[in-house]
Amino acid sequence: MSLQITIDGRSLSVEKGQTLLQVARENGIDIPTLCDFPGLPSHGSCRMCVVEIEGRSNTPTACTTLAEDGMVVQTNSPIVQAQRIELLKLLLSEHTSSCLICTEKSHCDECMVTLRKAGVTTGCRSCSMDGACALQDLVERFGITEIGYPVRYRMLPVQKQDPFFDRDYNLCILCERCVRVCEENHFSSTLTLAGRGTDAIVSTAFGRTHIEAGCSFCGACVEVCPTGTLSEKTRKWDGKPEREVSTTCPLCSLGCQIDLLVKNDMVIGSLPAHASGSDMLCVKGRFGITELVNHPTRLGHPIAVNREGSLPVSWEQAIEAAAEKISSCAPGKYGMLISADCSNETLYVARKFVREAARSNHLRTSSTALYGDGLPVLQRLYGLAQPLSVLSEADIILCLGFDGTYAQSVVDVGLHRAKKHGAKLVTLNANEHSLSKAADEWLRPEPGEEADVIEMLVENTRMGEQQNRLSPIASQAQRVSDMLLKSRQAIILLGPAFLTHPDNLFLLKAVERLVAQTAAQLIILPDSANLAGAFRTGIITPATTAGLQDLEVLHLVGETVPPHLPDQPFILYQNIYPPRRDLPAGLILPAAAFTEEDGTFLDHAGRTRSIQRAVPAPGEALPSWQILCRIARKLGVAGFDYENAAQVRAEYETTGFTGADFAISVPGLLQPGLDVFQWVRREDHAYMGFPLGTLVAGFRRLYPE
Amino acid sequence: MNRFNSYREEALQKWDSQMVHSEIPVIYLGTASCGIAAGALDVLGTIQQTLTELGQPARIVQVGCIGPCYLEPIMDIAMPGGPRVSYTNVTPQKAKRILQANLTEGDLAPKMAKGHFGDEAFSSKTGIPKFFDLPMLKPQVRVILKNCGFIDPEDGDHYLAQDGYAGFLKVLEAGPQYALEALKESGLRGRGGAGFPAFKKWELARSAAGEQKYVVCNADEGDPGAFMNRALIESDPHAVLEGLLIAGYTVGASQGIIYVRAEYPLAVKRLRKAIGQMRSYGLLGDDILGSGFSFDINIKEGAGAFVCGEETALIASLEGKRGMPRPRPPFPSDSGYNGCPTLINNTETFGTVPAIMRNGGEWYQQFGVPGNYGTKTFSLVGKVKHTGLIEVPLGTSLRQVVEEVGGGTELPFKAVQTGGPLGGCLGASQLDTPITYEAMRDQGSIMGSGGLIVMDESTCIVDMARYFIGFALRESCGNCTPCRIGTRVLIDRLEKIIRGEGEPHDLEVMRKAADTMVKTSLCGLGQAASNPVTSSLNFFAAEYESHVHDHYCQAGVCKGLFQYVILAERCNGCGLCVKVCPANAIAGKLRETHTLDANLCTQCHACVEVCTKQAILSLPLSAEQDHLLLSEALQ
Repeated sequence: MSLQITIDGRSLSVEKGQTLLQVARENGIDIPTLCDFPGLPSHGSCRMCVVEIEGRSNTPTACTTLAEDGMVVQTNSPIVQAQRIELLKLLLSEHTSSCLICTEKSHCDECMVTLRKAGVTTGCRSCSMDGACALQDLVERFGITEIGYPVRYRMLPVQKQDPFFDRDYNLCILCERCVRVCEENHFSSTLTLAGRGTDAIVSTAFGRTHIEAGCSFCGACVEVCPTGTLSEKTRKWDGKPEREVSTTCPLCSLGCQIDLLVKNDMVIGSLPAHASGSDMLCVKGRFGITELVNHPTRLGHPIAVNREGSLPVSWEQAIEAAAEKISSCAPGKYGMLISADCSNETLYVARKFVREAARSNHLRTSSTALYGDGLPVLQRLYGLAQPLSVLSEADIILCLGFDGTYAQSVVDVGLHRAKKHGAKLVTLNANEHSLSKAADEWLRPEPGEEADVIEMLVENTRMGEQQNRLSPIASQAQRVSDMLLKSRQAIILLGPAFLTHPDNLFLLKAVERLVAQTAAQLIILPDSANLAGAFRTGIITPATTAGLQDLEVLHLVGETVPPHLPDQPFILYQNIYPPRRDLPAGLILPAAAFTEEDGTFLDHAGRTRSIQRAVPAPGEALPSWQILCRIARKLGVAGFDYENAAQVRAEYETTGFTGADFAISVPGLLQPGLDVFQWVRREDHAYMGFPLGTLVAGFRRLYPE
Repeated sequence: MNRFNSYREEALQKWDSQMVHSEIPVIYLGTASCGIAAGALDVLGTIQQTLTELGQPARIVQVGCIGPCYLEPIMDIAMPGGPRVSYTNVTPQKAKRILQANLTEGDLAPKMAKGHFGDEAFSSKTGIPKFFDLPMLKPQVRVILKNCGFIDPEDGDHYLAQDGYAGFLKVLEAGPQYALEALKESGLRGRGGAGFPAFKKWELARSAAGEQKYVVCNADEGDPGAFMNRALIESDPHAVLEGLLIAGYTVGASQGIIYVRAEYPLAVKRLRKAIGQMRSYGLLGDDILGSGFSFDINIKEGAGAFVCGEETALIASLEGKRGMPRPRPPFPSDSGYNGCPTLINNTETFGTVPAIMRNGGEWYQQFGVPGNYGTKTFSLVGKVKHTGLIEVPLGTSLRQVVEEVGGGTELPFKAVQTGGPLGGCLGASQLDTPITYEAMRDQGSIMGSGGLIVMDESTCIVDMARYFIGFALRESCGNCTPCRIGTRVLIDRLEKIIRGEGEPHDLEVMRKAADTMVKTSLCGLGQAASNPVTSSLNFFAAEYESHVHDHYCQAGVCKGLFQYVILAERCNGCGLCVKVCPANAIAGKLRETHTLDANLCTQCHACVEVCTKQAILSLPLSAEQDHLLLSEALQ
C-alpha cells in the first residue's frame, strides 16, 4: 500500500511502514543524525533528527515516526533547526567540548602538533577520533560557537584493563550504537545501559571488564562509536586512514573479506569489508592483523647463520648460497616443510620447486601431523564442504567441537541467526563453549568420549526411532537423532578442535557415515588458512614412502624450526618473523606478509579468495614464491620466470594435481624419534608457525597458557 | 455457575450474620499501610488484650483505608443493634478507654467519637455527627472507594457480599459487546493521567489480531506523595481483579498481569491472597464458570523505577529488559508484552470497571461533567489540614478540594502541585480551575494519576521545583538527550539560584532547556519533567525574581537567602523558641520580647515551627528592605 506524504513541500509516495528518516534519505533530503547507523534498528535517543509535522505540538524524531497518509513534514524549518542546535548544545555540555567551540580551533594544528597523545581526553586535540568524530561534523554544520548550558565532566576513570580497546565514557553521548550492534547484530549482550538519569552510562553488567563479561572482541562496538569513547589501543593515535584496501583475512579458513586501513604505507587497522557483504570479523581479523604485520621483529634482510654467529647478507649472496647448498645436496636429501597458511601461488611454486629445482619428493606441511590419521577422511570430506551461507537453509545444525568464544565468533553469529529463524542448535563439546547456553541440546561427553556420542547418533539414525534409553547422554543422543531424522535440512559443522582431535580418524569416519545417512550439508572450519589449497596442490597427502630423516638441507617456508632435529641439516628458513630458536647453520630469508603480496587462498568451502598488496614489505623482504623462483633460476632451472602472481596463478589454475607425486609414509609418522613432525604442537591460532599469543599481546589474555 | 452462586449465598449470609446483624460487638480497625504507619497494629494489640481482660466476645475486622489519613488510626465499634461509630487518632490508651466504655458501661463515649454510619435519629440521640457529614467527606462521592474501609480486604466473601463479581457475571451474560458499550457510554477515561478513552483502548485490543493477548494492570504508582493505587489494592483488591477479569474476557486475553511496586509489600500480599480466593471461587483458570473463557492472573513486582509506569517501559520491564520507553506506534494494543496485543490500564481504571458493568454506563454519567464523567481519587497531602485519600467527581474545582475537602491551610495558601512530579504547580489564581483533563492541561499542568500536594507560605517555590526536577532527574531512564541532560541543566540552575548565585539569564536558560525537553523528548516523563519549573516560572515569577535579584527567599527555606527576625509586636515571650533553638541563638526572659542573634542562627527552622504567634519572620539580608518589610508586617 502506498501513502502520500509531503516533505519540505515535495509530494512523495512512500511504502507503509517506512520511517520519515528512511523516506527523506531515499529522496535525498538530508536530516542530521547521531544515534542512527546503517544496519541498526532505529532508536531515537539523540533526538537530532527531530522534524516538524503539521498538527503536532511537539517535534518528533524522523527516525522513529512512521509515515502516515497525508502527513506534512518540515525537516529544516527554523523551529526544527533551533531545537537541533539546543539538543546538540545539551550533548556538548556533557562532552569534552572545549576544542569544539574554541575560536582558535582552525589553526590549532599548526602550533600544537605534539600534544595529541594524552591519557585522558580533555578536548578534540587530545582525542583519538579527532577529525573523524560525528559531533565535530555537526558542530561545523550548525556553526555552534558557544554552549550556553552548564557543562559537566563525568569524572569517570578511563577503562583500559581490557585488551584491544579502551573505553572513556566521559566522551559518550549515549547513542547506544554499541549496545545495539552488540545485541541486535552480534547476539551478545556484553553492553547495556546502566544507571538512571544523569548516572546513566553504557556499561557491562556490574561494571566488569569485557573479558569477564563474555565479550568476543569482535570490535563491532568500536567501529560504530561516533565519538572517541571506544578506541583501538593500536591505532588510537594514528588518525584517519589514507586509503582502504580490500583483501582476505588469512588467520583461519573462513576467508573473511577485510578492508585494510592504510596510512603512510602502513597498515593501521582492519575492518570488515562491508562493500563485499562482510559485516563482521572475529578478534583475529579485527585486532590481530595490525599487530601481526607491523610486528617489530619482522624480518627485513637476508641473514647467513653459521657456528660463529649470524651475518647480514645481500639477496644475491643469500640466493647463491642457497642454490649452492641445494645443488650440492645428495639426491633425496633435500626436504621442504611448508605452512598451509601460504598462498596458493607460494604452494604451487614450492611444489614445482621441490620437484623440478631441488629434484626431491620430500615436501610436506606440519598440517599433515596436525590432522594426523584422519587426514585421508578429511580430504574426502572436503569434497562436500559448503560455505557458511547454507546455514540459513538449515532446520537443525549439529556443531561438533566448535567454540566461537573469540576466534571464529563470526560463525557464532551465523548460528544465532539461524536459530532465530527457527533452526535447532545442537552442540557436541566436552567443555563450556560459546554456544553452551544458546544450544537447544548440548551433548557433553567426557573429554575423549566424543566418538561414542557420534557413534550413537550414527547408530540411531541408521536404526530409526528407538525407545531404549540408557544413560542421560544416550537419551539426549536419541533426541538429537530423532531431530536429525525429522529435519528437512541438517547441517553438520566441524570445528577446529574436532578436526585436530586425537581420535579424528574415527570421528571423521563416523561423521562421513552420519552425513550419508542424514543427507546433511557439511561445513568444515579448520584453523589453517589455506588447507583447501594445500589439498589441491597435493602437498598434504596420505600416501607412503620414507620420512624426512637424514636430510642435508631442510627448507622451511612459513614454518618454524623443529627442535631436536635428528641430525644437523643446513636450514633454509623462509618466514616473516625470525626463528624462535637459534639455527645451527643456515640462511634466514625474509618473506612478505599477506598484506605485502598479491595472491589467492582457497577458503573452507574451496572458493578462491584473493589477497592484495596493500603496503610495501619491510626492508628487502620478498613474497615467498619469488624467493623460491630466484633460487630456482640460480640453479639454472627453467620455468620460474614469473613476473607477477597473476602469471603463477594462471599456471596453477590450469594444472591438474595428483597427490601421488609426494608419497609419504603414514605409518610411523607420529612415532616419537622417527620423524621431525613429532614436535608439532596442537597449537590453535597460529600464523606462519607462530602462535598468535607470542606476537599479539591481547591474545595472551584471551588464550592464557 | 451453580457452585459460584452458592458461594455468593454463603457470603451474603455470612455478611448478614457476622457484620450487619452480629450478636456480638464488631470492632473495625483500619490496617492498610497508612493505618499501620500511624500505629494501628499497636492499637490492635491493645484491643485484643482488652477484650481478653474484659472477657467480652467481640469480632475484630481489619478493614482497609477509609480516607482521612489525618485521623488515623481509626477504630470503629458497632454494638449489636447499633450503628458503627468511629473513633479517630486512637492510641492504645484511648482504645482501651473506648472499649471499656462501650463494652462494659454501654457508653458510646460520644466525646471521643468522630462520626457514625447510622441514621439521623442516631445523630440527634447521641450528638455524634454522621461520619460522611464530616467536612472532609461531605463533598466526596464514593464509587471506586465504595468498599474501602467497610470490608475485610483479605476476606473474599466480604467482597462477594458487596455485589462482588456481579459486574463480571453481567458481562459474561451479556457478552463482550455489552462491556464495550457500557464503557463507551460511561465515558471512562484512563485514570493513569493521560485520559485516553478506556473503551477505545479496549476496542483496539479486542480487534487486534493475535491468538495470545494480555491485559496488564499498571500498579507501578511512583509519584512522590501519591498512594491512591496502594490504598485501593490494600483495601479492596478484588475490585481491581474483577476489572482485570472483565477486561480479559472483553478483549479475549487469557492472561492478566499486575505490575505492582515491590515497595508495596502489603498490597502484593493482599493481591496474592485475593487471587487465591478467586481461584477457589472458580473465577480463574480454565473454563471459568462454564463459560469457556480461560484466564489467569500473575503478579510482577517492579523494581522501583518511576519510568516503568510508562506503558512501553512497563512492558519492557515485564519482558525482563531494562525499563525504557520505546516509540509508539506500534501501540501495546497491537504489539505489547512479548509482541502480543496487550491492554494496559491503570489500577484505578480497572477498579472503576466493575461498578460501571454492574450499573451500566449511563449510571456513571451522573458523576462528573460531560467529557469528564465519573469520579477520580486523589492523594491530598501537604499543608492542608485534612490529608488523605479522597474521591471527588471530575469537574470539582481545585478550590473545593483544597478548602472544603482539605480544610484549607494553616498559613495562607500558596500553591498546589497537581499531577505528581510531572504535573504543574498552580497558584491561588488557578484555584477555580475545575479538575478535568482539559482544564488541567490548559493551565500547564496535567491530571496525572492523582497526587495533590498543597503548599502554604512556608514553602519556597524554587526549592519545590528543585525537589521535583531532582526526582525526574533520578528517574529519567537516560535514553533521550533532552530528558537526561535537560533535567541536569535545570537542577544545576535551580541549585545555583537557591545558593543565591542566580543571574537573570539563568531563568532564560531554564526556559530554553524546558522547551527543548517538552518538544523533543520521547516519552511522557521527558515531555513533562520540566512542568514544575515552567508552571512555577509562569505563576510565581516574582518569587524566582526575588531569589535572583534580591537574593531573598521569603518562605525562609533557602538557607542564606534570608535572616530570621523576631517581631517584637507579636512576641509574647513564651520562651518556646528559646527551648528548641539548638544553636542558643535566641535569648530573652519569660514574658519579655525575645531576640535572635543572626550570627548564631543556623536557620534550622525549629523556632518557626513552635512559635504560635508567627512572630519569627524571614527577612531579606539587606537593611533597607528589612525596614520596609517590617513596617509592612506591622500593618
